[in-house]
Amino acid sequence: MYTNPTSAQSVRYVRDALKKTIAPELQSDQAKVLIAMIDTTLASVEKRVEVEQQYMAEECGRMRDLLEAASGRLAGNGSASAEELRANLAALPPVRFAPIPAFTELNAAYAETSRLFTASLGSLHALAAEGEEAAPALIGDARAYIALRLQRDMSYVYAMEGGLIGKG
Amino acid sequence: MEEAIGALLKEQLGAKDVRVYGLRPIFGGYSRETFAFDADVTHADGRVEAMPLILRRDPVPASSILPTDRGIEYRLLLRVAGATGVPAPRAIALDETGAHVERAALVIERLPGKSDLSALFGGPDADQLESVATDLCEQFAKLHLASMAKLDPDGELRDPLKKGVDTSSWEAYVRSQIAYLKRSYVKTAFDAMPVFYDAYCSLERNLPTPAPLNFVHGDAQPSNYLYADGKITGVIDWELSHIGDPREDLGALYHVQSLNGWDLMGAVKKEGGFLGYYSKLTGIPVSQADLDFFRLLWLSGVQTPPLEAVKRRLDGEHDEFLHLYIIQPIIAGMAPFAAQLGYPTVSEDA
Repeated sequence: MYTNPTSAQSVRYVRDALKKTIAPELQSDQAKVLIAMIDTTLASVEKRVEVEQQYMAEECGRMRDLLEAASGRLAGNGSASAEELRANLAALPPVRFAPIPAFTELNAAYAETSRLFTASLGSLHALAAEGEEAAPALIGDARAYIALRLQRDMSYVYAMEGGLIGKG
Repeated sequence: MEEAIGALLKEQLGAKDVRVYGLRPIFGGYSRETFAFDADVTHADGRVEAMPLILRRDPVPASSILPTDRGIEYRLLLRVAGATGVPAPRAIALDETGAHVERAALVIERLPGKSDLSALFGGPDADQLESVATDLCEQFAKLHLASMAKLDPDGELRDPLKKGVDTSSWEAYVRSQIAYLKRSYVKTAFDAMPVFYDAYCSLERNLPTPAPLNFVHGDAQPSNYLYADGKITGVIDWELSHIGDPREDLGALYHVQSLNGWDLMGAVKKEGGFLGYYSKLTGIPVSQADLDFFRLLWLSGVQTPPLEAVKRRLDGEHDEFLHLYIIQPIIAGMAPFAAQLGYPTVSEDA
């Protein structure tokens, strides 16, 4: 899916446009306060979006570890509170997530893999032109993947359902 | 602005006086700033002429999406109606350096007619559809049979966007267009877009039958026609005109009507339909495979300048927000490529 600009960069561009173009045009104090609040909210999203999945996955593990350790230490305690703690541990979602790479690392790897994958399409087409019998099927396989990629872009990046703005 | 336009018109028309009024923007596209206005021109002999006009001005250079040239457009519009018989707007004035209106601009006449073709499709003008579509086919034929020497005496239209296009032969032309697309992709793909690169490689492997190179409108989509009383009254937006394969115009029409459902081609009944009638008028055979090829070639060509513009924005050359917004239509623009290339339908579970 689209990786450049990233979600965080896109939010940054929106904040810049609000600050440079929209804010100076505002007349009422209410609107000026509102745009400052919007900027703060967007600044939060800009920071959060690149770490939230990594941190959520990692902290699920940390919390489970802590509850497991507590449960172990309180093994001989039969109080209602200790029972409740053990029940909470037992009710935890039954998953332990693999670590998600840091966003910058993942983004760079995805971009470079995508670049080389795309360049390889040229190689496959050249092989097809040279008569390599396997090439058309390999192009077909690649296209099935690209179709999935496009579908994801349309589902999770595209947001223009209201039509093209500013064009008659 | 009205005063500046008045001064431009006064200077170039040699008029005694020009009064410009009713200036209003037209939100018709992203490439140029377009304004409609009216002018009362008092000529040297005292005659007063009321002129309905359009100003097309370049945007700020760094944020330009389409690097076309107002001078080339102006010189073409001085000739095109006379040389082809196609109803094109007459060129009135050129501010090539922006001395009057800040940036390069041209003034052209405002043609009569409706620009919203939706009325032809199940709307109040549905009874005019066949007649308008047939006339459009005839206008295409006139355009594509025009004398290149008359339309492009100085060769300005052979590679107007400076893409390195070679018009010495049909094959050189098509191959140089595709080579440009591939070069441009490598240079400007701000993100990997495999479907575009796949399309360029596919075009290269599936060249259609050759046809004589001639004049091409370059943006022959339905929004660039005006009509009234069952006839085409105006063909507008000539900034992408060039010497090329005339079937590019058919590909553009075919593509855009496929998107918006305005089936102009399907409305022609003469000679077995649009393609048959067009071929009879021009002598240029057009198969469905040709149409598919030129649809993809045209789409690839018009897609490339916006990609370059987004790249400039992301590289920090300017801070226009529009260039971030157009990432959205670029994403949507991938679907027709995938459909044309026969990509399979997939699901997350596969």
